[in-house]
Amino acid sequence: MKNHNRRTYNVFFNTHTVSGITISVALFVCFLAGAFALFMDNIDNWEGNIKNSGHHRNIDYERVLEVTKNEGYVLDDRTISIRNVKGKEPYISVFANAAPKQVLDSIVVEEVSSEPNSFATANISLRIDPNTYKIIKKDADFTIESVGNFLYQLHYFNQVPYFGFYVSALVSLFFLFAIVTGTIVHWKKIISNFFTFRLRSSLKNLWTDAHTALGIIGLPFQFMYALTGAFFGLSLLIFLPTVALIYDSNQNAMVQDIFPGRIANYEALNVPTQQRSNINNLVSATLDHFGKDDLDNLNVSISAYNDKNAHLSINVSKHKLNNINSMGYRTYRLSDGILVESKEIGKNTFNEGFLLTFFNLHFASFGGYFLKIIYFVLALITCFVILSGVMVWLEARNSKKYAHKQRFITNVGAIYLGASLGLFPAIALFFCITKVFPLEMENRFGHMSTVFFLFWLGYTVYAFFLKNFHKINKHALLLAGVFGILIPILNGLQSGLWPWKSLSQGYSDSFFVDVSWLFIGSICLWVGLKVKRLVAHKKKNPKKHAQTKLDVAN
Amino acid sequence: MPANRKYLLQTRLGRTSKVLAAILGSLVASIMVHLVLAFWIGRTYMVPISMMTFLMLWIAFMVFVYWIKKPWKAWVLLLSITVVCAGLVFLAKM
Repeated sequence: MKNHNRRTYNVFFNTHTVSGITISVALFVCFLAGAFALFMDNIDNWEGNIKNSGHHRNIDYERVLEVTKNEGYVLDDRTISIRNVKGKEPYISVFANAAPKQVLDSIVVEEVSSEPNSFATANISLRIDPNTYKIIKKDADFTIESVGNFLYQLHYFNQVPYFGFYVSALVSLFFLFAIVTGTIVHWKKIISNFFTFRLRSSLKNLWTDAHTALGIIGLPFQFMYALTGAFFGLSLLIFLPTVALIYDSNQNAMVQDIFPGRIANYEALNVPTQQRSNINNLVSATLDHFGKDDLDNLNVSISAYNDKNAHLSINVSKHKLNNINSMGYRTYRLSDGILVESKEIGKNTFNEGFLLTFFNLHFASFGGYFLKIIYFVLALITCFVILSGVMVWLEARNSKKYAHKQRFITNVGAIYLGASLGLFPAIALFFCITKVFPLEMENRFGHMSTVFFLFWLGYTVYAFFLKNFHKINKHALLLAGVFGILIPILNGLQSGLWPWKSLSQGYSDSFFVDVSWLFIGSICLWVGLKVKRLVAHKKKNPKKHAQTKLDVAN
Repeated sequence: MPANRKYLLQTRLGRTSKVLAAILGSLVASIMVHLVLAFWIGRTYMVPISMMTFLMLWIAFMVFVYWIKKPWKAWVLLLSITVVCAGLVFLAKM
């Protein structure tokens, strides 16, 4: 190797190591929690013992708007989104940004003497009961009330207020960097080492071979997730300068270019009118056009409400079509009910398709459950690549040269492995306690998530004191196995939906979550009981402090 | 097996400079390139693409910063890209 090449190899090796080790635990959380979050809706149905139903519930949009108006909000000129949310407690979500400036000005003029009513023009975020049309909740922020949603939010650290989301995006960015540098380091051996798996030569070789071979197998998947994951949190970095310089601060024009038709973006002409077509009729005409079966999402948004230029945009998506862009929309002008814009499902222009493709790739919403299972397995493989990377790091430092740092390295290893592997039994425990905690308990979900976090922290502390990597792994597997097998039993005791009953009664999510956990739990228990050290421990360092438990693990 | 230290930057200043160039310098250069492309190719096509490619170019610049041996050379490269692109954006806005 020439000197220049040798330098490049070592430099990228170092950047790969540093970026990889820094993000390892956070990235592990992203992938493991994210793997479960792929089945978020199914897990939520399982938790709430909800029957699977593909039926679409009709909303009376006119009534929703009336309820919102009667609550005291000024709706004029706003863009209002109305959406049906399924789940344990289904509701209609009504969302609108604060009233535009011209409305504020007119109100101020009317109420010269008194202060303008700030409540009436503030953001609207309501939850309305779909049966009684009463308001359940105001200021409905994104509260976490179910396991599926909790794990979904955990996968981008949303439990950390304000900056958790951005931290996860940065982790994703450095993951992308680690992927690129890792591939550069491994470049010359990609083909030759792909078929190499030295199981019994040394631990370092074992972990290296596993890390590189599985890393190459998962490369496209990991690259896609690193890119899309970073996009969600960091797109603001390109969004802001682009809006400022290219769109002359017209944000709507840019949104129209990147997400055409998602939300109706029609400016008010400041000609107020009460005369308009019936929204319910337009929505049902649209549903007749696209078909009501297998409807996944139906978003209705009205822009410039009560203005002459008011438009109604109806977005429909059907994931079951196994089409990567199964979204369609129709936009009507409300003053005369004429169809202005439309897009058929499966026919996309470039702008309509581009970013949506990345969304669908990230959420695995284009290939049914078969695809989601492949995603789940690939996510677990990625978790393994991350941990085997940590193991390579540890093994490479298990030598005389690093003897003076051995205590530090072992501690870092124990904490990393404890925090990563402890998450798995913690998730299984969370599933268990949703079926154990009494339903009428005060702040039930808060207590459950506290138990989850305490267990996770507890396992990390336990691992720190144990310092035996083999046992950290084994005990996590045994705990996850026991919890996993308990899950269907506890579910049966709580809801009576035992696996042999639930499927025939139409509770297919209950059935599949139970059976999956039984399967996963049994495998974990079996592996946990059977697992043996693959490579015989070779004593490398006769010195005293090399007798750390790191060696015992081998 | 860990990377051989003799090939890595020895000074703390050099290392900090490279980290900054890799994260901030590369980000700014990547955004500027995409702004120019949006003016040149047309915003309707380029803006959705740039939402994804600005991350890829950012990473590419990051790798480049570490590939170049001297930190100041990396800075010169990134800054000249930024300045040239800023000039082109200025001309396009005129």
